[in-house]
Amino acid sequence: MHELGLAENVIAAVGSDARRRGFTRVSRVTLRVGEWSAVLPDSLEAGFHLLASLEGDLFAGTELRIEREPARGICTACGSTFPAGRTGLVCPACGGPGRLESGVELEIASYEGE
Amino acid sequence: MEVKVVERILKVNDAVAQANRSRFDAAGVLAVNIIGSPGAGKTTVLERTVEGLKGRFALACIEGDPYTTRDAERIAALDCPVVQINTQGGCHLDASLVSQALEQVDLGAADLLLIENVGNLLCPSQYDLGEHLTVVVLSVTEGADKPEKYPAAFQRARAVIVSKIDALALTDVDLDDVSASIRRFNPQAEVFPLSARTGEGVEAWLQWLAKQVRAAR
Repeated sequence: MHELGLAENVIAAVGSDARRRGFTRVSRVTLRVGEWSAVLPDSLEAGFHLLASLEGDLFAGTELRIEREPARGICTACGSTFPAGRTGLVCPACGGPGRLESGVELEIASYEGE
Repeated sequence: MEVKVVERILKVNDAVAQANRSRFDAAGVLAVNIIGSPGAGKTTVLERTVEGLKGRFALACIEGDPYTTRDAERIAALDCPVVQINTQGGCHLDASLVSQALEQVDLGAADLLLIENVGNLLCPSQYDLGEHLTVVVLSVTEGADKPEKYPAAFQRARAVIVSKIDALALTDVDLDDVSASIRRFNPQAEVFPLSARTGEGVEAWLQWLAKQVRAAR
């Protein structure tokens, strides 16, 4: 449900940009989705293909590529960066408090069209 | 031809959220987005917050709920202006739903706007409503592992209320474990263990929130 709404935003944004450029076909859309973004890539992909099929020729056969962005922290004390994954945002090097550097992205990175 | 886009999928939402925030700022209102699972005790915490602060500040609430007006009725019973948003099954509030609700809120007359999000720890973490700060309500009966399971919600929170501490003895949860787990995913978060039922711990939360309201004026 939620992913379908996100897919709708992707189709709308890419579709309007592609039409503005006079493209007749979008062959690939690349998204950047963070590990902590609370989004299921499979559902997003299913929603994307469903909505793309309703869009006619512009999105016929469009490939969706999802790049997963790992959750990474940066320590506010010592400046080192580290994977936040399951261990969280406490710096493994010095124990200082970290802040999230990446991992909640939900972006359209690029698309290919002609 | 490759076209670099790099824009947030929620760009439209973010723009509306920014407009909401500008309205709050212009009116000198602190807006708080309250996130938590169904049954975490969000509405009860809200009731205690309204009761505790209404003598000191002018309050307003927006109640997000999939269906029913039950929560709004509870807040209205405390003589607090409240607007109900029904998402009709939707899993989160978004900025435009809040924007529509704001048509019925007298922001000029308010110091603090409390927005209760839909009971969910996933989607609400993605949608900026234009709030100044996010508060997560986590009840002890949900277990200590929630920050690890829902990092985005906890990472976003300025404060985490650990609710229902009167039920601690019925669980195998340890308050120190919950706090440690929260701080692992958000080292800067303020943590307020409290019981909205007995009142234990509520004052510390109210004092902290009051300080944020005064700073936003």
